[in-house]
Formats: sequence, structure tokens, C-alpha cells
Amino acid sequence: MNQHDFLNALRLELEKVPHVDKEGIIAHHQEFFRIGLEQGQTEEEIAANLGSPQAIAGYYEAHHMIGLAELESSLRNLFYAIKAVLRLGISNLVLILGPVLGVFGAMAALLSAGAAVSLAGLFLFGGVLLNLLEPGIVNIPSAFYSDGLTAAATLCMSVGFIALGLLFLIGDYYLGRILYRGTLRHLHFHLRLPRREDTYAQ
Amino acid sequence: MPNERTMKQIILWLIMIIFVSFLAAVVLFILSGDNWFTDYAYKSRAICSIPAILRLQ
Repeated sequence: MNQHDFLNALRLELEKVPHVDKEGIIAHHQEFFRIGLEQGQTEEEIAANLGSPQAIAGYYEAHHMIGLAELESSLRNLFYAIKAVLRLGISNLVLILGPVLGVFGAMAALLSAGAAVSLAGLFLFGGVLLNLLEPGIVNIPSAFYSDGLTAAATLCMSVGFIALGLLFLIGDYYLGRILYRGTLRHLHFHLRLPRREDTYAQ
Repeated sequence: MPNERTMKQIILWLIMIIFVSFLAAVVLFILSGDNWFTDYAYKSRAICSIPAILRLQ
């Protein structure tokens, strides 16, 4: 593939990627060809060293998606950024998908734990109150409401559980924010790994 | 989500609610005498003297 074919193919691939400076990227790659030719390489060799136009367009798309996810924090943007980086190569599938799935699993477990503590408190509170109003309406152990003081103690305990679960969920939210930023840094790190075109940039 | 200042206030309130409600629950369980809580506390000897004193009364 000579310079003309390469740049045409790159232009076509970049057409599929919105919000990127297409002309800037083309000019950037024309510069690589100029440097390569000065070094005595053929256009075909330079094109082969630069990689496929599809991969280059994918790189810029991933870069744009990560920037978008940094600018506007949302799970949707994070998902698109991960998807764009995953499309860059099979090695990313192992190096990114593994840690990302691990982080998502841990977050899901922590959120479930927080919600479970809160809901347990809520159900206990409701159950004791309903049993005090009409005994036997909800099936909970009578040890929780055998007398007035025990019922009051159980109600206090359940309020404590509800608050503890909510505090747990707030902690999960802050942890999620840290992990969101960490995931984006991880994606950035993968994009910064040496690329073929860096040979000419030096 | 609320701003940082409101979040700090919510967290402080939750910590206070947790502390007060669990403290009240422990006191009420002990005051109510024989129940699952005092049984466990007595067996584990964590606060063995309090239910024992209450039982004697």
C-alpha cells in the first residue's frame, strides 16, 4: 500500500469516527511518510510500519471515548470507552476485560451487601411493627417482639441496620467514583503503550 | 447527587443514628431481661455481669 492508498483508506476509516480532527490526523500521518522517506524507506514499508488504517482510526476513537468519559462521568460513557479500547486488539481483551469485570463484580457485590443490610433492617422494622399491631401477620421469630422492651430494642436495632446499610451504599458510591477514575487511567495507560507510529515520532 | 457539604452532613447524621440506635437497642435488650441478646451476651461473657444482676433482681 503506497502513501496515497494508505491516506485514502485512513480518511475513509476516520469518516466512521465522529468528533475527531480528521484533517489533523491525515496531516500527522503525511508527516510520518515524509520523515520515513527522508530516512530512505519506501512508502510501502512506512505504511506497513504504521499499521492498518482501521487500527489507527480505532485508536483515535478510543482516545475520544476516554476523553468523553472523563468529561462526563456516566456508566454509558465508560462502557463505550471500554468497548472502543477492546476493539483495538485481542491483547486488550485479556488486559482490560479481566480487571474491568473484576472491578464490576466487586462493586456489584458491595452494592448488594449495602442494599441487603438496609433491606434487612427495613423488613425487620416493618415486621415487628406489623406483628405489634396484629400478631402473626408476618412470620418473624417471636424473640424479636416477645415484650414491649424487646420490641423497642428490635426497632432501634433495625433503624441502626437501615442507617448502616445507607452508609455502606454511600461508601460504595465514593469507591465507585475512585474505581471509575482508576478504570479510565488504566485505559489511558493501554493507549499510551508504544505504537508503531512512535518509531517516526522520535 | 447532593453536593459535598450536604453529603458530609448526611454521613454525620447516619453515623449518629447508627451509634444512638445500636446503643439504645443494647440498653433496651439488657433492660428487657431474658431474651436472645442477653443469652448470647451472658454465654460469651461479654457483658456477663449486667444480665446476671438483672436476673437476680
